[in-house]
Amino acid sequence: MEGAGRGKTGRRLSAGLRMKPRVILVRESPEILTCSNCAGTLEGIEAYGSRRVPEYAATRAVMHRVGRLYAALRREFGDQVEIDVVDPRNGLYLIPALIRDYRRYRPPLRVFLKTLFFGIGPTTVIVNGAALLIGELPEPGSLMQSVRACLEDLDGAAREGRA
Amino acid sequence: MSALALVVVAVVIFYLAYRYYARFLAEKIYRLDPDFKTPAHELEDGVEYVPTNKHILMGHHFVSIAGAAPIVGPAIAMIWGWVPAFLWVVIGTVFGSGAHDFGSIWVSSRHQGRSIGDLTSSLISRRTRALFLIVIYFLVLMVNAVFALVIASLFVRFPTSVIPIFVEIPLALAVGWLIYRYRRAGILLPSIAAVVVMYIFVVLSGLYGWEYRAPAIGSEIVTWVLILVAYGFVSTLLPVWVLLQPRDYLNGHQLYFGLALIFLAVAVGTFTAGGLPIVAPALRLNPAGAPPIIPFIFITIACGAISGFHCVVSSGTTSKQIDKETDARPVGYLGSLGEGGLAVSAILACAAGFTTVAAWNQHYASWGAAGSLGAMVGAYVHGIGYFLDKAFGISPIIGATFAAVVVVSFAATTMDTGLRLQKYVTVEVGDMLNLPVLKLGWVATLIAAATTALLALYDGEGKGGLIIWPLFGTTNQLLASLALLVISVFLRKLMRPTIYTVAPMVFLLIVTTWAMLFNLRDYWAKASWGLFVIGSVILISAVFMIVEAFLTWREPGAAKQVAA
Repeated sequence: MEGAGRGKTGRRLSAGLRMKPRVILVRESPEILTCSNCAGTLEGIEAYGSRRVPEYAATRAVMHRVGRLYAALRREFGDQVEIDVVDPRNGLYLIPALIRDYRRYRPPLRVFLKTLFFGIGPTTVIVNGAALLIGELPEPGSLMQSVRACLEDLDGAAREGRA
Repeated sequence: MSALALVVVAVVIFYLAYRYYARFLAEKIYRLDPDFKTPAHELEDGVEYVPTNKHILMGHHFVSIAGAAPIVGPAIAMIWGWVPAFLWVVIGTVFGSGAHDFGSIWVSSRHQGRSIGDLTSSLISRRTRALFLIVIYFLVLMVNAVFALVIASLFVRFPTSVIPIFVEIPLALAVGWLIYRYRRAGILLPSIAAVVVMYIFVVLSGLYGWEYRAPAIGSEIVTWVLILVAYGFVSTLLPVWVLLQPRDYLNGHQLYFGLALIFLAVAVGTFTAGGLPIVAPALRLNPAGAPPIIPFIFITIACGAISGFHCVVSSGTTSKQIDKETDARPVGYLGSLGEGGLAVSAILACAAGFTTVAAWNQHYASWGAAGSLGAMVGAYVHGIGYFLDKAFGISPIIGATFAAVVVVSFAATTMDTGLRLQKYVTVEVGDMLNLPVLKLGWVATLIAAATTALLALYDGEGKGGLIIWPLFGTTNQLLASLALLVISVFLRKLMRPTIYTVAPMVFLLIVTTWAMLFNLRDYWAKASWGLFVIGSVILISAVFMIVEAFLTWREPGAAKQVAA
């Protein structure tokens, strides 16, 4: 994985710019199941020595696709971008995080509300408080493009602020 | 003493424990290193190994460990009075569960996120790993049986909860379709809407007395157990996205909403006329038919004080996502305190949710009376109804129906999960023994459902909940001892003080062995041979573990070297 600071593109946020773009990759994890722990977690059966059960094949496929997006983001932008991988059941974290991102990045209110009410799902990518595609995962290329655009916006805003 | 005072005492103790004891463990015993390269960084793949913000991880960890058991255990243990239950929850959480959950994350993150089961064979022996599997299998079997009885008892005692719970099934199916097939709706609105619809049925059932009583086959409880096992059989054969996963979204909302509502009701109710005084007796040493308070209080409350199952989540999942090693303290220790809080809420409802001692006594008259499991869990449900009435003027029957629906929803998810686990283990056994018939999904599920029904109805009347519950607690504590043993062996290998993990481990081994000897004598006297066999296996496992622990301890060099 790429280290801190500069990504492959060689892009760096302007000095003094504190705000990084934030990407929230929302995807389910088979190990998380409310109230399941009184019986051990389902896929935790592997922890007991059993082979992996196929119940969560679809969820695992999404996890792997999200994993590829995560790796691509890290490779491209290093630590210039904040990346969170969150289970959609973690409303206690997600809802305040989306509200915080709305206040931080100021996406249009309509976009924010759409993200809040329709964007928290088993497969969503949220960039700076706005869901890119609801119910689908973007291709790595288009995600990189969106994040690059966010970086440029934030860079521009920081320059304007300094001027 | 008022209920709010008890909340304040618990909060202050938990705060001090986190501030000082957890910090002591972090700095002096586990010696967490913020620069240690955790598995999330070392093996970062964006799939399972993902450096994760501690706030996110706390949310994931807490929803996985919370459930119905920290409600049921304290509700039963209240038969000995509120003081022993409260003390064990608080002390167990601070010195047992905190060290156990936190330590499990730490030891696993020092071993590339490997699970405790896996580490058992690395740090101790392969034999102990086999023991781990045996303990898990019986634990799951007992979980299924006891939760089937809990749900059946609540349906009999609070028949207004039946319709909302059955309404939950089509709602969950619809949410599942929207989330996993339609995919454009997100989860927030559909799942909240489903919970709202379910609660509308709670209100309607309470208002109009919509009750459903199952026809009695022997007794109503027997009928419900059979219906629940049949439901479990069908739902276990379905793909997880159809019912299990969507119902989980509904449960998540109920968990947070329920907890917030209970503590808010206590806070508001305290300042209404008459307040919320604790009416339960502080201590009852010899309630009718109950086993001796010591050691049984320690195994009656497992989840909520210390639970071995937490090591599965702590070591298998959470440890792979820890960003900094120092995050193990807030995630592991605070998660334990959260579950302790859930247990405290159960004690509050059972201690202060009554107007008179006579009303309280109706629920806790005797340990072994018919329907006594339902009566004790019903005390929690009744107590919540009372709190909501006192604080917000909600009709007690609506409040009680709401509480019953929450507990049943949690227990049903646990039972569904447990049946699936049993199915997998059976398939695994079929594979090991080369018996293709056991590898058929429906056969394995049928075996899981049948063994659950047999254990739940072993007495022919479905009254055995309070006999199976201590077995569940004993096995759960045995698993916790095993995890503490792994942590202690690793600490010893690092030449660090071990007393803080060895002390709770020794304590748990003593109480589990003691309780099991008592149980076995009882099963023998009553000629309950099935339970006698299960109890004997658990006792032998405990003894075996003590021997293994002793052998490993004597020869620290024998502990295999693993990457640290």
